[in-house]
Amino acid sequence: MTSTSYSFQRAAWRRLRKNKGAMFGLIVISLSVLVAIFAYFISPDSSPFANRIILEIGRQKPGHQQTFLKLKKEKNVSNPGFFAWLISGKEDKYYYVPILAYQLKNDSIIIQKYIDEDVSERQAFHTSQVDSKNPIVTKKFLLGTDTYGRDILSRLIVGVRVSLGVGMITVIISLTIGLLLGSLAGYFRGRTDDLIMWFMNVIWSIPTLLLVFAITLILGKGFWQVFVAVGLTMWVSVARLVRGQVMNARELEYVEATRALGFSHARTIIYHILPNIIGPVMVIAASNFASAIVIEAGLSFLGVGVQPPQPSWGLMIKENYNFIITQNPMLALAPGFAIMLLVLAFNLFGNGLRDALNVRGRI
Amino acid sequence: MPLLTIDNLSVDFFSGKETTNAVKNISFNVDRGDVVGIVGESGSGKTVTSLSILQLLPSPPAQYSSGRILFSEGGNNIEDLLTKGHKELQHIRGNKIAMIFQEPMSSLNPVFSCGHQVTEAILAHKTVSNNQARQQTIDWFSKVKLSEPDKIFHRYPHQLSGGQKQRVMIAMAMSCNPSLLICDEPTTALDVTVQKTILKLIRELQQEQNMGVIFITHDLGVVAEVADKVVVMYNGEIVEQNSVKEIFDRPQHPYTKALLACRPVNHQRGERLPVVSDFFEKVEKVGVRGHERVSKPEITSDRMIRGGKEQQFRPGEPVARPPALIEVQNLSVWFPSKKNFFGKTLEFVKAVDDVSFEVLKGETLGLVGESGSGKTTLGRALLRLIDPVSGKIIYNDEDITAKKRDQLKPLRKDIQIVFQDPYSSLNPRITIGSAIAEPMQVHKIFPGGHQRKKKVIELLEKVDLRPGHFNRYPHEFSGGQRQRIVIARALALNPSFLVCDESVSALDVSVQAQVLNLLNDLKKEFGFTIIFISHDLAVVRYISDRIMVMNNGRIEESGDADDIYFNPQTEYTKTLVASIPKGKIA
Repeated sequence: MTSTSYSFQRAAWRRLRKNKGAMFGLIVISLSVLVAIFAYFISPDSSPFANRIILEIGRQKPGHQQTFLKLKKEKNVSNPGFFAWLISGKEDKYYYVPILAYQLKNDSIIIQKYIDEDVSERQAFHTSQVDSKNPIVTKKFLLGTDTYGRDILSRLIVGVRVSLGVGMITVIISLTIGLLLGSLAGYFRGRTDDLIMWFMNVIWSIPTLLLVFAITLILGKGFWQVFVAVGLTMWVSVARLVRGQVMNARELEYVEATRALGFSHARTIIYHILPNIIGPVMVIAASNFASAIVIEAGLSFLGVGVQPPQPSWGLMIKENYNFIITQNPMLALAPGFAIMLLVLAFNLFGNGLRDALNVRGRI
Repeated sequence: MPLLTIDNLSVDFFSGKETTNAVKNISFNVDRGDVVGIVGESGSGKTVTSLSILQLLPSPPAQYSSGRILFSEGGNNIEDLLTKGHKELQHIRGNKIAMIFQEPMSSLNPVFSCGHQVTEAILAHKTVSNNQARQQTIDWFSKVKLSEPDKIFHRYPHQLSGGQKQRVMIAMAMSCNPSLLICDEPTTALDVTVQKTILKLIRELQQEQNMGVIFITHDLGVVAEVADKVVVMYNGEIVEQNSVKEIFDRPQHPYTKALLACRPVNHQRGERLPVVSDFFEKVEKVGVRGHERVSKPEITSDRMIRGGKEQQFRPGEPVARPPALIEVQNLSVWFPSKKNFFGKTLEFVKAVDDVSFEVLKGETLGLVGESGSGKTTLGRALLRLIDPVSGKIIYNDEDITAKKRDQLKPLRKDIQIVFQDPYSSLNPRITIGSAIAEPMQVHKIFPGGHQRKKKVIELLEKVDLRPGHFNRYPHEFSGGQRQRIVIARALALNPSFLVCDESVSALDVSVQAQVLNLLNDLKKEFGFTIIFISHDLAVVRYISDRIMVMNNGRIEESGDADDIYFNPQTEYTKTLVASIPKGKIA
C-alpha cells in the first residue's frame, strides 16, 4: 500500500511507458495524428487532395528536381481562411509549368518548356502573366511523382487523413453498437441474449467484403460510405467480447451488491460493469482500428472505397501497382509501407495496452 | 541429522526498485515421523517458505538472499536444495518431497481421468510398467480410503467431490513414497466434516510411512489436531516454535497468545474478542495495514452487549416475545438442472426446499450448513436477488415475494447484504468514499453532496477507518479493512435487516475477531437484525442468538445457539459439531 492514492489509469500508464513496442506505436500514432491534422501545412503540395496535376513530369524517380514557371491562372483564386486551409487546403493560384531554361527580356519571360525527355517547346509570357515576386521555383519530389505528375509525398501525407479517419469512425461506430448490444445481451441474458446473439451470428456469417459492397450499393461509393460500411461490419467482434466480459462481471459480488442496494440496471451497467471491462475493449478497439485501415485500403484498391482524386493509400497502390516491376516501384511501395507502419503501430500499441490494463496482474 | 533443516533462510522479492523481505532469517527442522505445523496469517511468509523448499517460486522476482535448505533422506548424504539445478530438482520434486495444495478443484487437470494423472506421476519417477503403475494407483486409491478405487480411477475430476479430489491429490503425492510431504492449507477449502477425515488420513499415512510432514495452515485449531511441533510465523519471521502442547499451554510470544485468544470458539456469546493489538502493547506497528482496531480494555460482559433480550429465550420466563421481522413460509428455490430439447425443464436442483422460519426483531440468527446446503441461496432469496419457486417471505407484514422489481426499491433500503469475498465485493474503479455515498445518492437520502460526504466520513469512523481514506481505491486496503468498508456501505442506507453471507470466512482469525467485534458494536448501536450465514459453527455460535442448521436445502435443526452447539439433537448437527477443530490438545 502506498501512502498516496493513485488511480488505475496512472498505474496503467506507468506500465505502458515501460513497453518499448507500445511506446513506438504510440509515437507513430501521435505523429500521424499531427500529420493528419496539419496535412495541408506540411505537404509540399497543399492544393485540395494534393491533386496538382503536371502531366509532363509523370512517373519521376524519388528525389527528382524540377524547375517551374509559376503562371497565373485565368480565374481569380481567393486566399482561404486559416481553418479552410487547415481542413481542405488551398487551391493553387498558378499553373506550374516545368521548364528547362528561361530568359528574362524586358517585360517578358521566355522559357524552354519541358514536355518529355528530349522534347521541349519555346514559349514566351508577359511578366504580368506570371508571379510577380519569384516567377521561377525549383521543387524537389522526395518520393517521386505518379502518372499524373502529382507529388507522392504530398498524397501520402494527405492520405493519412483517410486511414486515420476510417479507423476512428469505424471504431466509434463499432464501439457504440458493440457496447450497447453486447452489454444488453450479457447483462439481461435469456431472451434478449438469444435475440442479439442470433442477429450477431447472421451479421457474422456475411463476408465483410460482401456486406461492404451491399452497403456501398445502397449508400453509394465514397469517403463516408466506407466509414459506415466498415463500422457496421466490425461491431460484431466488439459485441461478442463485451457480452462475454459482462457475463463474467455480473457474477462478481460488487455487481450483485448493486442489485441489493437497489441501483437501476442502467446505473449498474454504466458505472459498475463497463468501467471494469474497458481494458479488453480498448485492446480490441486498437486492433479494430488497425484492421479498419487494412480493410479501407483493400476497398479503395478494389475501387469501391475512397474515390479519386482524394488520395487514399489503397487507391495509390491501385493506381501504381503495375509499375512495381517496370520502372518506379516507389510509387506503390511508399503507400504500402505507410499502411504497414501504421497498422503495426496500432497492433503494437494494442498489445501494450493489453499488458498495461491487465487489472488482474495489479491486485 | 534431521530430514530437513532450514537454516537462516531469507527470501526477497524484487519488483522494480522495491524489495520486499517475504521471509527473514528463519530456521527450523523437520524430523522423520514429525508433523511440523507452520501457522501464520496471510502474508506471514508461510507459503513462501514451503515453496522455496522445492524452489517453486518464480525467480525473478524471488531471490534467496541467504540461508541453506538441507535435505537428507537417510540421515546421511546431506544435500543443499538451494544449490540444486533444475534437473536434480526434478528428481527430488514429487519423488522425495511431495506437495499438496489448497485448491483441490484446480490442482487436478480436468481433461484427464484421476487414475491417469496418478499413474503418470508414478511413471515419471519410477521404472515400472504401465500395468504396475496402474495397480499401484488403485492401491493408493484404496489406501487414501476412496470408496470403489477401480471406478474412481476412470472418473474425471469434475465428477468427484472436493474431499474426494483432495484424496486423489494425496494419493498422487504419496505414490512415490516421498520422505517429506508438504501440505499447503490442504483442508481450507473443504467442509469441516470432510476436513476432519482428511486430517486423520494425513496423520495415518504419515505414521505408516514414517514421513516428515510440513503442514501449513492459518487455523491453530487444525494444527492442534494434526501437528507435533508448531512454528508460528508473523511478518516473515518465526516468532515462536515449540511442541504443540507447549504452544497451546504456555505461549510465549504475544502474537501466539493473540492468535490463540482471538478464536471465537473459546469465547462466550457476544463477549468482546481480543485482537492482536491488545497483545502487542503498542510497541509494534502492525504491518502497514494502517490503523487497527484498539479494543476497550474492560471486557464488556455478554449480558451488557446483548442487552435485555437475552432473557427472552430463557425457558420458563414469561417475557413477551419480540415481533417477527421476517416470516418465511414454505419457501422453495429450485434451479433447473436438466432440460429437454425444447427447453422445458425436466429436473431441478432443490437448493432450498420447503423452508419455514421466523427472524425476530433485533436478534441475530445464525444459519449454518456445509457447501451445497442451500444457505447462500436462502440468503439471496430473502433479498429477492434470486426468485423463489414457491412460498412466501413476509417482511414487516408484507409479502415481498409478490412484489415486482420496481416495487422493491424501498425494500432495498431496509434489507442489506454483506458478502463473503472482500476482494470482489467492491468495485475496483470507484473510490471507497463514492462507493459508500452512491447508495445514498440513488435512494435520495441526503440531497446535497456535501451532506453525503459528511455522513460517509461518519460511517468510515464508525467502522474504524479514517476520513482520509475517502479518496482511496479498494486495492489499497487489506481484506479486513475492505470488509469493514462493505459493512459501512451496507449501513449507509440505515437498514433494519442485514444478511451477512460468510462475511468473515475469507479473513484471518485475528481480523475476523475485529470484524465480529465491529458487527456486535454496530448492532448494539443501530439495533438491526442479522442473519449470519456461515459454514463455521464456532463463529456462528459466538455471534448468534439462535442457530438454524441447514442440510440439503432443508432445515435440520434450529434453536438457541448454545443449545445447538452444546447439545445437538440430530445426527447431522452432532457430526458437524464434532468435526470442529477445538484447538485443544486431546
